[in-house]
Amino acid sequence: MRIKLRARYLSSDVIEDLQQETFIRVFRALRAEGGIRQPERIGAFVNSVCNFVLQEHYRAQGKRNRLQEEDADPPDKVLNLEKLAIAAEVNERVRDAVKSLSPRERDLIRRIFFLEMEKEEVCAELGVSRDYLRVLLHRAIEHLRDALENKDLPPKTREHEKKRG
Amino acid sequence: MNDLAPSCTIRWKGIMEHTDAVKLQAVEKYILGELTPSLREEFEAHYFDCTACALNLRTGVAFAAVSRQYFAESSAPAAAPERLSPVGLLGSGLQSQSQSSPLS
Repeated sequence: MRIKLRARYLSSDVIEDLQQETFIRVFRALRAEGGIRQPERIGAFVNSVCNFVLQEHYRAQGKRNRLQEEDADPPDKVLNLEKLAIAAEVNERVRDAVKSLSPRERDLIRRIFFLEMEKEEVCAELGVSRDYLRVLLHRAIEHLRDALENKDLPPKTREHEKKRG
Repeated sequence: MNDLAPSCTIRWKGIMEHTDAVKLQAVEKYILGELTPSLREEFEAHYFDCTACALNLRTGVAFAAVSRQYFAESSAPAAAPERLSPVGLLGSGLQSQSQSSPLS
């Protein structure tokens, strides 16, 4: 839910408030008589409550209804990454993953996520396509996920997996 | 990798399935801000119910956030102060409950 709220470029305080309000409403619904009819759809339920809370927030802010933005262009701006707290182990793995990138890939990641440069401009300067950027991110996700899932394997096996990947 | 569709400009109306999200490269586009507001909402409705996409999204966000911190530290003239707490988004609140995986 935090990621969803960050995708709206809201301030940390607002994100915290909206998240708490959503949880309060979800717990209230769970405790109510009859509870939730489809417990297996709890994720969808939380999402819809969060959407409702967001809608109320926008209304209170006097902003136009989000539904009117359906045809808007993509923001083309990376997710709000400010002050994101990450588990120590994940932090270490990502650093390993970044170090293992080629210089060009590392430069690409640096310009996009650290310098927050325009993607079109970065891709043109480095001679890569937007698809390449997505594929690079996709590979990084897979690599990192595998590394974290195989964390209990002995180092040699992990090294072998790394070379294989 | 080969099953990833090129940049997709389709407009979605309906329920996004996991295969749709994969073909659309929804996780990557979500992080890079390349989904229209309506597609973003479709994907959100999907990943709140899809553990695979939720895991990939959390992993991707962690990659982006730590990369950003890594380069910030690399470019800083002196040692950068610790900006991130040891627990958080990945495993936030979950770490104390489960030690099985920091991404679970």
